[in-house]
Amino acid sequence: MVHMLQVENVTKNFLGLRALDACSFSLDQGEVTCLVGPNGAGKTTVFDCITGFLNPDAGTIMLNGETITGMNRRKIVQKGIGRSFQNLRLFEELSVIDNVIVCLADDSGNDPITAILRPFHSQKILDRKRGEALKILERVGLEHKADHFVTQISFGQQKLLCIARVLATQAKVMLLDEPTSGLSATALKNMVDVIRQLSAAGMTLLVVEHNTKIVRDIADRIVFMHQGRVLASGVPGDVLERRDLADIYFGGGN
Amino acid sequence: MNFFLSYIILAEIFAIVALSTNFLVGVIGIFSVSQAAIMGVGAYAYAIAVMAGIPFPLALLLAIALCALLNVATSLPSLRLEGDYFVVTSFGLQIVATAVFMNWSAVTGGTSGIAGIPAPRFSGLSFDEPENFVFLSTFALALASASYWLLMRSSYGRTLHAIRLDELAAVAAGRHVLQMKLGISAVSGAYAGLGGALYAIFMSFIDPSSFEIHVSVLILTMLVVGGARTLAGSILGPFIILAVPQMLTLLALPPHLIGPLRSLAFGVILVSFMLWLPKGLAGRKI
Repeated sequence: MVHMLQVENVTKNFLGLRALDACSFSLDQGEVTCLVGPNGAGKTTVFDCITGFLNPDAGTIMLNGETITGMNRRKIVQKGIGRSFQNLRLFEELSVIDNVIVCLADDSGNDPITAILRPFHSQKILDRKRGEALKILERVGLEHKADHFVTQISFGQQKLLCIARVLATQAKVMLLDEPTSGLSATALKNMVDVIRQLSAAGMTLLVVEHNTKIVRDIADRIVFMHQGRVLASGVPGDVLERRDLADIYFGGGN
Repeated sequence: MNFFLSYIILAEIFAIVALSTNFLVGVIGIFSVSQAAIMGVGAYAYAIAVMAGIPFPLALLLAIALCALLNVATSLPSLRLEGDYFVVTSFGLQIVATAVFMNWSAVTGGTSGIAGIPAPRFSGLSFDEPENFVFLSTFALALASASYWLLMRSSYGRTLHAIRLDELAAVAAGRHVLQMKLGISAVSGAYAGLGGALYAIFMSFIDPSSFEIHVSVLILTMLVVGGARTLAGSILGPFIILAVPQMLTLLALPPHLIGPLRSLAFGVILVSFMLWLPKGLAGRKI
């Protein structure tokens, strides 16, 4: 069976430090996979390798059976892998809806010739993009904040906007780096609902998550990493019950 | 010569060059201190072409196209050099340009420059006189402003802002950052070329001193005073900065003091705005 995303024996070294050591795991369509492990386990490095921000030293990454290792970042986004960042990286001087418009997969009108010489056509493109962006904002419940600036919305809403931006790229696989960290109880519930809805709609998600309660809530499968290696992967019940992994995760064991 | 009209015309020409600088420094975040050099290339290219017998519209287009290309080439290092490093690179480019204007005498006339650049004539109407030229410069500024406005409100304009704010996030969204930076550099160069050509027509004489580093700094000062990233800022700035020398002439100062006082005034204005009003009068912080 062809997996939606398959990571095979991916290795990455930084100046002698082995950040990823023959990592292998796979994601299936519509499933939420949680990537867990202590700080420094290599979770963000995995994200960087999958999205082309880093080139793995060895191993292959396949999307729907097609090798994407070594492809440039833009190409990988166009193939359907989108990511969010731990530190959000929103465009802070832009409005909420413009943050989404800028990320839309539709690249039409993004040149000076159209903008200056075909103003009406350019406006039509912008209107169409605005409509598309509004629909995406509705999916995360931010449509009423469309014309606010990023700095005027709450932290929880900013995190939802990050997801809207990834949706705008028409991603089939979403990599979310700590989407729930620092959220209030209400915002947290909101985020969990959004992640569930995305998964129900067929989205494949890889989520870095620290809170084991939330992991139980959203994960179909868990990939447990430590010191650059995948120590275990499977359904939450199996992985979370393992005493040795809990020791590593909460400190102590090595 | 009508001093008030000359002031308006020069301010309009510099507003076009300020818009050119605004695209790079304000919008996309490429901190260039060599826009006067690009403007100079536009001026020389127009002058040489027109004096070689090429008709006005063609000479103007030639100057604009050459500057667009040149600006793309000189912006290329910014793709690898960030912030301060690019300032040093563009400072170097400015010095090289001045050296070329001075020493390539066969083409540029060296330090004595090029004199007697003819103004275009349309059906007996000569643009020699400020009374007529002001229509040309106003039309050019209106066209440049309208284009700036259209560009900034398009989805392209929004993406340019996004690239300045967080280039990595723009890449993660699948945007072709390189292509967009080169595109806006070309537009910026075209504006500088237009400004340079108009300057050559209006002054009918150009020499290297008109396009030196201090002119680049003066253009940046205009942008700081008016405010970056807005249309109003790029237009207000030149009108205010170019009014300073006019004001100084109103004070009954000894002639040998006027030059140094002008430089002092520009310096004080630049530093004051950066300290107390970094957004300028009608814009945003650079």
